[in-house]
Amino acid sequence: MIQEGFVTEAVAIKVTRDDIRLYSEAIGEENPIFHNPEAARNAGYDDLVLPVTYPTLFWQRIDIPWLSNQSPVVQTEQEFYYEEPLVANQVYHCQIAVLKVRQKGNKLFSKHELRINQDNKSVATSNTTLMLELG
Amino acid sequence: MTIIHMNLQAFFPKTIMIPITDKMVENYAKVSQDLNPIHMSIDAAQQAGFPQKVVHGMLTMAISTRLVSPLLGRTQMIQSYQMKLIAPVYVNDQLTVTGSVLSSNEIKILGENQNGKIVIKGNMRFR
Repeated sequence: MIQEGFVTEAVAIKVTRDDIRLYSEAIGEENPIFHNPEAARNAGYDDLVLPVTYPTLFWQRIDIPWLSNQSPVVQTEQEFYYEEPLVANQVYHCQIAVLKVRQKGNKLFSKHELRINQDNKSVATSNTTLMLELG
Repeated sequence: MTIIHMNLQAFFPKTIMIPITDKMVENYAKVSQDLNPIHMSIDAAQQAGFPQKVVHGMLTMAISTRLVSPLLGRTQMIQSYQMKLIAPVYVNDQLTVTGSVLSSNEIKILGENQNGKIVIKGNMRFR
C-alpha cells in the first residue's frame, strides 16, 4: 500500500544531448534551444535545455518500490516547478516521495513529488498524481 | 543587461490544432519506455474499455507546449506548468490547444478533442 512519507533513494541523473533531441522530436518541439547547443548557448544556457515536461522520464531511472507490484495506474495531474531550467550534461540528484494519499470511493489518489537537486540545492520539482482503482 | 519580456497579451489568445497519430504515440512509447498495451494495441485498449488506443497523458501535456515554443529562449522560459488530465485522448483524435492570458506572466491552457470535450486544463507561468 502507498503511504505518505515514502521516499526513494536519491539517484544521480545526467541527460545527454541525444536524449533531449530524441524527446524533442517525439513531442514535435522544434525550438533550436532543444536541438542545437550553439542556439542554446546564444540564448544564455550552458547546453541544450530540457523541455519543461522532460523530468517525467526521470521516473524510469528511479526504483519506486511501492509501485512495483501495483495494478495499472492512471495519471490524473502533473505539475512542474523550476528554480532554473535544466540542461544537458549536468548531474542532478533525484528522488521521489509520496506527498499525499487520499481515497475517494474505490479510487486511491497518490501525489508524488520528484525532487531534482544540484549541489544540494533544489533546482526543480515535479508532482505527479496517480489514481489506482482498489479491488 | 536589460531583459525585455515579451508581452503575453501580444501573443495570446492563440490556438493550435494537432492531429494525434499512431506514429506519435509509438515514438513517445519508445522514448518514455511506457509500453503499456493500452497505448500500443487497439485490442488491449478495447479490452480495457477504451474505443481506441489511448495517448500517453504526458505526450498530450508535452505536445501542448508547442503553443508556447516560439516564445522560449533568452528572455522567456517556463517557470511552472500544472495540468489536469481530465479525459483520455485517443489515437486519431484532433487536439485543439488554446492559450489565453491570465496575468502579465501567466496563461491558461485548455485542450479539447474534435467533439469539443475538454481533455486537458492547465496553467503556465513564465519567468
